[in-house]
Amino acid sequence: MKPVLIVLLILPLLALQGCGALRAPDFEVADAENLEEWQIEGRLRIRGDQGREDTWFTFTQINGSFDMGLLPDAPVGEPGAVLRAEDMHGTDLHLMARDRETSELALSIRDQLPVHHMAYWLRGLPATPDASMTHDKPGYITAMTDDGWDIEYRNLMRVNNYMLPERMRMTRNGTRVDIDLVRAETGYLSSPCPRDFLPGAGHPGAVSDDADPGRDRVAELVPADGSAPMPRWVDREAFCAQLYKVHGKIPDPRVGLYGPDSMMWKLQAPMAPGGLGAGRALLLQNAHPWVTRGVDEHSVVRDDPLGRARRTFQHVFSIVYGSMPQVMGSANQVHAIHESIEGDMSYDAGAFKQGTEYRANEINAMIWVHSTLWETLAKMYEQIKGKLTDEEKEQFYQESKLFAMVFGIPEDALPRTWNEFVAYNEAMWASEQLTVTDATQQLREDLFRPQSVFLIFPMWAQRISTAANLPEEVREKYDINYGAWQKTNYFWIKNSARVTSWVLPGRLENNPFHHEAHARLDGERPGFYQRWLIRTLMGQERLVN
Amino acid sequence: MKLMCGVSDANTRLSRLLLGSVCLFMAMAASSYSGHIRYMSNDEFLAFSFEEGSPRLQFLILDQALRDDAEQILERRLGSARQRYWRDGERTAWIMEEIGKEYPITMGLVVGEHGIEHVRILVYREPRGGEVHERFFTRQFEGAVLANGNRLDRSIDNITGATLSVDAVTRVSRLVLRLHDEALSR
Repeated sequence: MKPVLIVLLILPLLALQGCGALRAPDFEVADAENLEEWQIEGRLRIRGDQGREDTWFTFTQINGSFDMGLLPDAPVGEPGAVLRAEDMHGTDLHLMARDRETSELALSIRDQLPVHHMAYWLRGLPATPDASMTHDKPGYITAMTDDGWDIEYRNLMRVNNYMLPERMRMTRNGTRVDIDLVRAETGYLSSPCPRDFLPGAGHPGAVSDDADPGRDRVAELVPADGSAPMPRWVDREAFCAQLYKVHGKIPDPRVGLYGPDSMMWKLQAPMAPGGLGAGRALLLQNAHPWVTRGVDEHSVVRDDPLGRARRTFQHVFSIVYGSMPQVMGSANQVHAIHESIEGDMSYDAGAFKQGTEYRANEINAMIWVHSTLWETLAKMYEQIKGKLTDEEKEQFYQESKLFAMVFGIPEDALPRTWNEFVAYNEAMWASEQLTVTDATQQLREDLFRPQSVFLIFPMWAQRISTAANLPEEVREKYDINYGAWQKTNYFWIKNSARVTSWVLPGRLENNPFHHEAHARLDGERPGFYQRWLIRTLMGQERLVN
Repeated sequence: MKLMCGVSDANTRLSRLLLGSVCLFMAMAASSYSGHIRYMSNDEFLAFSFEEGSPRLQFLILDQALRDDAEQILERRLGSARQRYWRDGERTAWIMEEIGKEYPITMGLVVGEHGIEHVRILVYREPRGGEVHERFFTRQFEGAVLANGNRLDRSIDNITGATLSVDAVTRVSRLVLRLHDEALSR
């Protein structure tokens, strides 16, 4: 009886412990009053004395003026009519419409809705000082009475640091307005750079095009004499210049850097290749002494590897799948974090000598970290999902350059083609730039230590997969054993992943951010399951919607 | 947790095993926990700021001249069209947010006849630099007024490891003093 009782009592505790390891971090909502540029989109239905109106809409505020775009036919696309106010606190509202029908719709909305007030009510804020509001807790509004309107906030959605309305009902004198909001942007609408970046002389063309197209980029990144490459720091001017350059290449900000036809979305979509390759990419990165030193001195990864992984992948998925404002938001956050990561090497490590300076925002080091991600993803994708053609690999590599550029890496510093990229990776594996020190080994142990009982098996499988897929030179540097036991285990792990990937429908096989990005392109919310999965993985319900 | 771990009558082996497991698991879960810290809600701050009065919500509309001044003080572009504050007589309270390094710091400031009366950090969201909420730091702002060029009449001591947060609080203090003057003059 006793063993059964023990098992029955311990099982819920194990479950609780597993949940604890993936628990969402504390979140204190920021004040939407301080949103300086934002966009929200959804659908509104008006029922009143003047009849009924039903339309999708976008509401955008930039630099103290706003646009309300009306889309009567579909949730995304060019608006049929726009109501524009140059002064948010004035009374003028300019109307632009493509035809008479949409013009009449816009006029009806203008007459029935206090459009200027909507700039505040859509953020859950009072439009006048006499408003009265009810909150569940700080930042979570439930109701408001303002300027004669009763507004009921039925649901809120978290968008970055803010809680914005998701469903609201407004009533006044027999008029009822139901608003269903689908998604929002909270910054980076007017510029890809942070608001404290004031463009200087040289900007945005500060980054020169390749002056010497014939030069050997691989030899620059991996000098033949075994020395470290010449450090090249990315300052704010250069970073923003790169962002402007990327911004100029993107035709549709809703789609973001890539989109459904890209190789990046194709390779990133299934969860198995990225999941099984994570350990390989991490160990390749950490073999660079600057990375280990930076983690040692500045990161909480040893105390909170899951939290650190969550924050890292938030940025990776935001950049791969996000709209342009979301991409730029992540790029700027990462750059700001990297700016404070600098110091001196306190020991000799391969090509990097004691006393030399390191910084996270250094081009050669960032190129290496960037390369480990995409070279690993392509390798693992081929193992699980099937071979890629040369053309597909080339397309994938050219697309990945955009990812590098949003970190401030100039395009002309990167290997030109997929073949050059492969040559660069192989040269790095064999070079003194990758050196495994005691600190690197300790970091490896910390990274692979399960944080929860539920992670014991995944971490074990990760160790096996990493041993199987690390380049031989690097595996030897780490002194990782890859014998018959590991080979046998990797055989069934890999083939289980292949079978699972083949059997599962796309809805389950593909990562939830892939679905979320598709929902964004369709102007919809992702489904309940995908939202639950995103909340479980990222601690918030939305990432790239 | 202390209660569960300290139960003295847990004398059977089974109970000890289970209690030990609970404590161990909770400790492991807690070790991976991090996030934002709220020190005070807006309502608590307003109640603290206006103990005897009844402040009224107001909006200060930012015209171009005021926005230019605000941009010069904050050292960034400003897109807001209004600034919310609470007023009771000649005293005003402001709840503002400014990004330190990565996340916004929510701070509350009260300005009276003799300059800044209180600075309180309401929410701190960065993983490091939270010392700016300590009284030894916020006390430095009490009595501060604007000197030439919209600068504070005193220097503010930095906190090692929290430079960006210190700068953010200092910038907002300067802005609030400028906005207070404008609010009273309108």
